[in-house]
Amino acid sequence: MDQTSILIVEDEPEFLRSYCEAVGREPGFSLVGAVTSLGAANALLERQVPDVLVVDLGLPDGNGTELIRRAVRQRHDCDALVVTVFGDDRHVIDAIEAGATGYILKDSPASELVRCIQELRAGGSPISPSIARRLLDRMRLPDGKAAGAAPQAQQGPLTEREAEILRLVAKGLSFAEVGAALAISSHTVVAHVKSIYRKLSVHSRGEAVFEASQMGLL
Amino acid sequence: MAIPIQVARLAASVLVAAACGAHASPVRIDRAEMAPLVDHAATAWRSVQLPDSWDHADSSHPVRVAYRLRAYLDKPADESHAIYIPRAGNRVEVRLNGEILERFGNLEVASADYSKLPLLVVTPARLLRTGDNVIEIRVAAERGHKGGLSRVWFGPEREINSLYGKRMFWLSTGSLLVASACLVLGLLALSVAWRLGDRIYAWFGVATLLWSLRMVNVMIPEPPVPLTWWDPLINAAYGWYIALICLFTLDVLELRASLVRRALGLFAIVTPFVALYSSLQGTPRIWTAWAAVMLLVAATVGVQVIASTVRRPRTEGVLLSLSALLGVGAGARDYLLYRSSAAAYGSFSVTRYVALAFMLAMAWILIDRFARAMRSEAEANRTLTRRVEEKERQLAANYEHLRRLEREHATADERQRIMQDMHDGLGSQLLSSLALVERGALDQRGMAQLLREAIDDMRLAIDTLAPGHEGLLESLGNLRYRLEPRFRAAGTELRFSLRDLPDRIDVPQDAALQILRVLQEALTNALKHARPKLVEVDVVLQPDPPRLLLVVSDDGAGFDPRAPGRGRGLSGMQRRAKGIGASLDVSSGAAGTRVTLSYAMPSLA
Repeated sequence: MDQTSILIVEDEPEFLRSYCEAVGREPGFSLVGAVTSLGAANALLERQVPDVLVVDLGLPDGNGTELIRRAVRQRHDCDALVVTVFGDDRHVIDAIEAGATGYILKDSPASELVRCIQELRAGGSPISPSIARRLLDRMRLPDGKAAGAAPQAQQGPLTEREAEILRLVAKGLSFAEVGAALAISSHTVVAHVKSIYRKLSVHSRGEAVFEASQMGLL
Repeated sequence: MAIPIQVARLAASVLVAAACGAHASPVRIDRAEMAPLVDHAATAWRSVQLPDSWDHADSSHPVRVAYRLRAYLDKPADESHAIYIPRAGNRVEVRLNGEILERFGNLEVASADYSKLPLLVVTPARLLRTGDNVIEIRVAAERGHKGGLSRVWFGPEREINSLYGKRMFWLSTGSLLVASACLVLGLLALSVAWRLGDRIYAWFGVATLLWSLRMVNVMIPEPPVPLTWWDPLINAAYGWYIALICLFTLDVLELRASLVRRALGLFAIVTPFVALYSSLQGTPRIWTAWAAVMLLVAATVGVQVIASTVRRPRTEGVLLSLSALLGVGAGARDYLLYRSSAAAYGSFSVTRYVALAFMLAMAWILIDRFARAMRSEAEANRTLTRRVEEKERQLAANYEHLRRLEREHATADERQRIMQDMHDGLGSQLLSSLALVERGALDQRGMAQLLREAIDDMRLAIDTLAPGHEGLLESLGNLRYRLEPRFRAAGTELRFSLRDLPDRIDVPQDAALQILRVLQEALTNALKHARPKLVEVDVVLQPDPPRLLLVVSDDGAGFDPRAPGRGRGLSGMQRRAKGIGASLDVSSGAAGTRVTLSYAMPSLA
């Protein structure tokens, strides 16, 4: 299996160092860049979009979500992992809409960063109960029906299975417990979560295009 | 009954009067011979002047009388003639040259009065002689009931018809019209009085109906009760009419006139007795005197009405003043004519038409008041709408103000809570950490530990207090999600048992924060001190009364809860539990530690 290329964008040196060390210790990971600003990160993205982009949202010269949006636009399978101080819903959801597929708290142990990157590469995404409920509220179908054979299933609202996963997570169940409740593996659960994130991102991009065309920008 | 015939003749006479010229004009007969009837025979003839009004004669006047009149024809009559008697009564029998032509009532039965309408008797040509023709008119009447004989007209039927028709029109048709109008307007006024509860209309309604009765009386020669009882009723109706119309007038003009009102009441009470007494006694002079009182009463009120109108001119006043003038004038005219002079027997009273003036005034008052009411109602509606709108605006403003106050209050409360929380939680933690660091009592590991605790506390506050976070379970899940990596790193399994719980458990936010703090403290303590393999969190919701049980148990090394050292953390947990009215139980031994928080759920109802 190929090495996972990773770019880290973090303006605080201590955290940057700690992340770099953790990534450097991992045999399957290759660190392709470790920068402290949006500008530097953009310059690197010109050349190459990595497999995984680890980005702090509050950068001195701008917001990390712009970087995520750019990276995902250039390379759809790029996993953007957001590092957030507060882990508050608004920032996280903004990042997911921009295309992020994972997020960790800044004070998490460095080992957690490695685990999260591995999970992302394995096709899964983490989710907290608050975020689950927010997404549920946001993407719920009008009468709770499944999208069924809707032609735009990829960007349409949630399927019944996805909504059920979000509901159980919002209730405080762990992925393993959710999996047990739905008779699926926990890996399948996190894969569903990742797909939900993708939907939200595509959906919000669709809305943006729609709004822009309404405003005569396109 | 003679009435239908008379009415038919009236109609005919109107047609005839237009067609015929004046070739042989009717003659008026002013003189007659009169004799009292004794056993249907008249013997003691004497000459009298017509009209002969018995009520004006002295009480010795006989009550059964035959009059003999002479009508001279210079040539044989080639057409039918007629005798026209403007007034005779109460009961009349007409003979021509010894043959009975017509009877108006039975002379012997005192129950009919034919003096109210003119009488017409057709004389067939065959009964007429050239030269003197003798017309004998027998009259019977009750004393004091307008007995007598007016002047008599004789001539060709067509001419006589015209005379008769004129009088019939004014007496019969006119009375009927007035009666109808009175009936309609009287009933209308009464129903208005009933619906509005306004006595003005009641006065007028009753008065007008009484007047209607008086007018219809003209058409009733044979009333259902004897004349001695019927006539006083009709006379009393006259008195009541005056009293009620006076009250009506005073009320319309809002004149207090309490003395006059009392006098009117007394007058109304006395009137029927006077009428009855006069009738039973057969002495018309009593009623005549009372009629003067009536006139006086009406005149008094008339003066008040006119004075009030002069003081404060308005249409109602002017109309009522004119009506009163007309009424008193007509009354005075009729009074002087009838009561004082025998010659007036058979002449024509005008008072009956005065009711029309009052009716016009009343109609105007009704219409005017109705229009005013409509206008003022529309105005009131507009005002009401305006006021309601104004009140609505005020209410909306008040509501908005209240809501703003409420919001400000809620915001202030929220700030206060956050301040308190920073003081109790993060603030005190940082301060005690600072003290330890300054004392140099901390190594790097210990410092990291303290800072991590501070960060944990901050995250907990964010998780619980952040807007949009719903229910205890969600915050609990967030805590679990956040702590799980730490347990994973330590190689400890963290197991939550959330079975059989509803999707949401709602507790007040500050209580939720304290519950989660206790839970977080218990979890981090277990991880820090006990080094367990498994930590279990059990959340149980007990019904009746609703109670939330939170049990944290580990299989690590136990400790003595009473021993110093661990005390600080435990007392903090106890304090928090107590702050929200929950109880905290900590038991520890060789098998591990078990922390139980029991919180009474506030009733949501």
